[in-house]
Amino acid sequence: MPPPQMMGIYPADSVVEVAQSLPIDPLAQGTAELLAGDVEYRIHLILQEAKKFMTHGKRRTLLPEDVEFAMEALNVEPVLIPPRPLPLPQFQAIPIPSSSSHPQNLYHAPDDEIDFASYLKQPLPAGVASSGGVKWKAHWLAVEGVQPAIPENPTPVQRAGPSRPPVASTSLRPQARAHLPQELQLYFTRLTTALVPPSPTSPETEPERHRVAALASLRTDVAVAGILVYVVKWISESIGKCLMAPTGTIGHLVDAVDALMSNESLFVEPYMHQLLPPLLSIILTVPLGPHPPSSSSSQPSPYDLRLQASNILGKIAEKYGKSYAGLLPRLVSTLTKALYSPPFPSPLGASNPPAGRYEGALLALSYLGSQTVRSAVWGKAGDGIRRIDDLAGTLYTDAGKKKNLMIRALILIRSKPSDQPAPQVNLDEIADLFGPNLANALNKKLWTASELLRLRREELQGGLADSEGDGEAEGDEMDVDARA
Amino acid sequence: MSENPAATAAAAPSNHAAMPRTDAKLLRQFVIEYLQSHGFDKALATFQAGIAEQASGEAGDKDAAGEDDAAAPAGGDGERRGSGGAGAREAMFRAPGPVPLESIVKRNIPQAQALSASTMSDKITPEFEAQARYIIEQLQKKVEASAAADADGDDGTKELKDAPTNQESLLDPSDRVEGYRGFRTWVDGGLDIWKAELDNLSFPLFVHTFLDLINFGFLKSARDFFEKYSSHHRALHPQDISTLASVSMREHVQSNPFCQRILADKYVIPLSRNTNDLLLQWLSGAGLDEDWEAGLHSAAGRAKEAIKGIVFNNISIHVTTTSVPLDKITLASKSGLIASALPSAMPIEAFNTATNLKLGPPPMTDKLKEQITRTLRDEDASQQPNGNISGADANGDVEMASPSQDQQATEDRPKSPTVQEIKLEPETDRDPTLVSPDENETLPPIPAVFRLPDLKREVEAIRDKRKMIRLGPPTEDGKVGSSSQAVLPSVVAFTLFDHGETATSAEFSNDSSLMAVGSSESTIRLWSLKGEKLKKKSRQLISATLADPLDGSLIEDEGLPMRKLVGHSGPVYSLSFDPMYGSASPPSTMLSSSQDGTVRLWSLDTYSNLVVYRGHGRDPVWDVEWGPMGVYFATASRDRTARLWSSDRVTPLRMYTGHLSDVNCVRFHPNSLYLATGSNDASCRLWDVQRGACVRLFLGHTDAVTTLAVSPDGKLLASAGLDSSIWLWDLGSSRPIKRMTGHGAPVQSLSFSAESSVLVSGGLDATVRCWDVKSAGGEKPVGRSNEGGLFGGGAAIGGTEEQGVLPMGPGQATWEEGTHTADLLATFPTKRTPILKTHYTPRNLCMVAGSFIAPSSGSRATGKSEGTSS
Repeated sequence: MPPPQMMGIYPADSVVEVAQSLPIDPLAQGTAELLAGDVEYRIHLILQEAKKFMTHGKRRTLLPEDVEFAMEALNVEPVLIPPRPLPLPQFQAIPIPSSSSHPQNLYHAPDDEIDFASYLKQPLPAGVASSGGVKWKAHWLAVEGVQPAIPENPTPVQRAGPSRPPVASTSLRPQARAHLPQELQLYFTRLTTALVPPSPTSPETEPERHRVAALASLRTDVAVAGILVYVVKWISESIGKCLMAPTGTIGHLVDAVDALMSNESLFVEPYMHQLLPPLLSIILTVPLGPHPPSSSSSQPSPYDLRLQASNILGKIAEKYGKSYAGLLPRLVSTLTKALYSPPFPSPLGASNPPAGRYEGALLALSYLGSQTVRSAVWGKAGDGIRRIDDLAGTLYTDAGKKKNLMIRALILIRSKPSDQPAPQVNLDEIADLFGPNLANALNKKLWTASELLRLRREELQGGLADSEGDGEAEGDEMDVDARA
Repeated sequence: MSENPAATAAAAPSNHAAMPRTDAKLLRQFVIEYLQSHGFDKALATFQAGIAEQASGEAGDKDAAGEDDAAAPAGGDGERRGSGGAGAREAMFRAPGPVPLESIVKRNIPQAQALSASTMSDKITPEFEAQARYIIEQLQKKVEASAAADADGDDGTKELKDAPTNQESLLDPSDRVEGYRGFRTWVDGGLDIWKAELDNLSFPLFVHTFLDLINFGFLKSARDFFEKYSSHHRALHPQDISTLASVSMREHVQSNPFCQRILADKYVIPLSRNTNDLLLQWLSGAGLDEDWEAGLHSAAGRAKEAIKGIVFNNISIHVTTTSVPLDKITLASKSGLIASALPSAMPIEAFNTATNLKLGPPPMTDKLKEQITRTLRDEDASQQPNGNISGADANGDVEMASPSQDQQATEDRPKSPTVQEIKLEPETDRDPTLVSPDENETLPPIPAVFRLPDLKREVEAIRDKRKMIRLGPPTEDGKVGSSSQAVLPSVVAFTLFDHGETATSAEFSNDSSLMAVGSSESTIRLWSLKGEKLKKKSRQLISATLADPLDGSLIEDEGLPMRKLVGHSGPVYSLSFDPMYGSASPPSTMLSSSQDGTVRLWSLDTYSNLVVYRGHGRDPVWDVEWGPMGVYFATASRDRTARLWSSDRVTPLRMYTGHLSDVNCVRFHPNSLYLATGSNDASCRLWDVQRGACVRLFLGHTDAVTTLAVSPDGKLLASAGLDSSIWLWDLGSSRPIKRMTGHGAPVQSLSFSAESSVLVSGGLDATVRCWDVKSAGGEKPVGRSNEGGLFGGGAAIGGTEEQGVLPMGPGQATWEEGTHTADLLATFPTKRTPILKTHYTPRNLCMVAGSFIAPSSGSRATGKSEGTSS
């Protein structure tokens, strides 16, 4: 007789093994399968019965005693069950030699002999030893339908009760939890924790290495795409909240944005509108970081942060400026507005003008391309420069910082060819036209100074003679040089 | 297509990649040889014994069952094949029905060249064998049937009746599976409004298809079929599906009670008129899909034939008169294997309305009424000067002031001295439509003379009623509360510590002075909730100087804060305090039921076991409850019966049989005339206590019913169970009122507030929930979309947290449960305390009890739910 096909899960091999261990005739073909099917059916019956005992025990976990009662109810000879609590079965593997290449393991639970006397002398489990028996305690679960906020009642966070995932303090936002698979949740949690180390880090420490690794992951991993929406959200929210935090934290976040932007495999475009505001915040907010600024050397200065953010902004503008016609003009108008805003009233108080705002605006504008600088900073025939020069006078008491800033912007207007000798320029003329501060700043950049003067001249002439186009201006560079 | 049916049939298998058909040639060859072997065996046994032996090598032993019953007709068949007797052949093939037998055989056994027997033997698989045997059996039955029909003189109607059966049965497994699949595709692709009804129909189709496959030995097909489609039905029929999961052989089908029931009974399916028309259209092939048009000549046609067979033979469709689509509650409460659940063959509506119930409150003798009035008047008179009507009462209950109560008090005050008549009951509580039972109908009959405890109890009941806080949403006349907010109960939670999951039952006494907790270690613990010590009374010792041992004077010991009652030998599943004294004074006795099959009566004066009631044999007693007037009590047991006992006898008085599985819970109607039971067969029944007859059957739950509550006004029954939903039934009209969902785990206890307006439920999901009994309910999905979308909690965090903090901390977003019906008034979660018992005091204070599960021992459950929630 061919073996009937049994579709259960109870293996026929087990039946065969039991049969071999008993002094009976070898099983006929197919008998083991039939018996296995029947065994499975009986097990189902017992479990169905055991479930009733579990239900009436008002539990949701099936215990050995339930099975025992079920067998008793079904008039099956009960097996001896171990007393509760059940020791966790610790299976031990024994490799058995086999002919095939991969070794097979046989697992068994070691059944040690227990010396009764010594067993009784062992200390009681912690829960039992300290317990004074069953007690009860009454509390108000609700008073006229309102649950009072007392320790006995769960807090709103815990209202989840035991059936909901516990929310760890540094874990993922619960919303993300609901929408992401486990792996991505873990990835997100790790990523966000690593990206912002809890305390300022020095380069060689463990958190810093983690941070670098996380940044690398952001920069290269395709998997970020799965949590992109959450990462972007997290970054933008974090920046919004950390503007007054130690600058190190903001620096880390800006690093993260940078890394995210440079990830080739991501489609960041839809989230641009979420990333731009925080970047602009960093660039324009005054004060950035704690105020008054901490003198810790390990923290990046607000200027560095603005520089970095402007850099990223520039990248974004370069990448998406073409496809979004409104992007660049809007950025420029925002920055220009900030640049031309009156310094007072200042958020820093009457004595401190918000220099950072202007720095930031200038930096950002300088990264948005020479065209922008010409239109926004240069203004009409260098009028803008004049204004900045005035500002610089009011903003800074010492002359050190301001130079770099303005030069940065101005250099962009026309980069210096390296082989050109520096022309002689009358700095007085600069001071006259644009302001003394600029003249001060340009005393080593004579070429730039000369270019400024030339541009102003040209524009003034061009304004009369229906000004020449930009392309032409670029084109006649040699011409200009010759004249110079 | 129809010109060559055989070819079509042969080609058909290739259409179904999922369910490959066995080799038709082999099958045919096999069957022919088998028939031949039988023919020679019976008709020409000695003549061609050699051939018979040769053939029976493969076939003879394979169908022992077919061999016996096939004797005579198979002999004729053999003649046809062997010697070609013309007469016999004619008789054989005058087949009834629209399609001649020959063509059916041809379709199933297509023409093919003969194979030698030796090549066949190694290609015989069990599946193949089962199919061959099946065809042979069907052929033989057919021949028998036609022979019988011939003898009857060609009774035309009978043949027509037989026809669908026989055609349907000549199908192979792929056709059945395909039929079910086709039905589901049709339902899923159809209009949403009819979907629920047709979906309901698909469950019996599923079960019958599966059982047919098993019965004919197509075990592999059956298992594949089950695995593919069972998940769809698991939600609504969890028990049945898990039963079927264990069935893997024909023997199991024969021994399994559920399979037997479904094979023997007709599954009742209610359909609205339109749906029925749709179904008939589809079945008759008038639908749009052309596949069906080909009828039996195509695989699709045969697949539909399979569904047709099940619908006509095993399902009884009850068509409603309206074309309005039936709602889910109607569907659930009217479909199922109703015939076997009812004592007489009648539709469930007829059964449920056959008896009129007397649901009114029990009568009260005039003497008692008079005495109560007098007592109350005296009391009021003595309290009136002090103006202390609403002072603290003797019970020490906390006085719960509420606006309505003050209002009520001011209403009452001018009345009582002038009218000099105490209202025994507020008029609103009386429902004129309810019939009160006669005095001798109750259990026990109302005595002509009342006793002091009766008076005390009734007086206290009136007091309670006066001081009761009216709960529930506001009504039009503004009776309940002055504000528009619903008045919700106050809930006191009694949390047991260090009891783990071993607490199996908990109970509060009516006067709220005692709490009893039964444990799986077979003990019962008793606590006084008032902080008093439990004093044990005992007869004074004879050795004392007082001489008379019989003077009956009692002494009390100094008392213990907790008393342990030891006597049972298994987990204590249910407890009940006697209601004799109502809320006037502490109960004197308590009942407990246990896994060891006994019910024990305990004295709460001596804290000892008074009586052991055995009657359920060794079967565990799941539930016990005192009758509303004491003396009698009822038990529910695994032996599928509920029983009525009198506390002075050790044998049961009545037995209530009818449930098809364990009776899980039992509750008395407040007037003691009826008994409600809930069972593992997912039904609730109402019994006439005196007659022992079932008067109502409530179907609708999808899993076992584990708890019940009858409303104090006697009109409603609430039931809940493992399916985590609560059903509300109207006892009088026997209609389901609504289904309330929201619990995330089995519900353990239900209680109605004193005026039956707010239902409180407690479940294993560690929440206590309040439900509005009166509102219409209905589905109200509260998804996460309501909580401000993806990052709804963000604003809250930003608002509360300081600047410079990363928003990585725990969110403030509320994790409201997925869906609940609109009538959920409030949810009160506990920390980690699954609720075992909910209880309303007569003054509408809610008490709940549960056992705190320490995180370590409950970690497994938490982990599981965590996995499911993500």
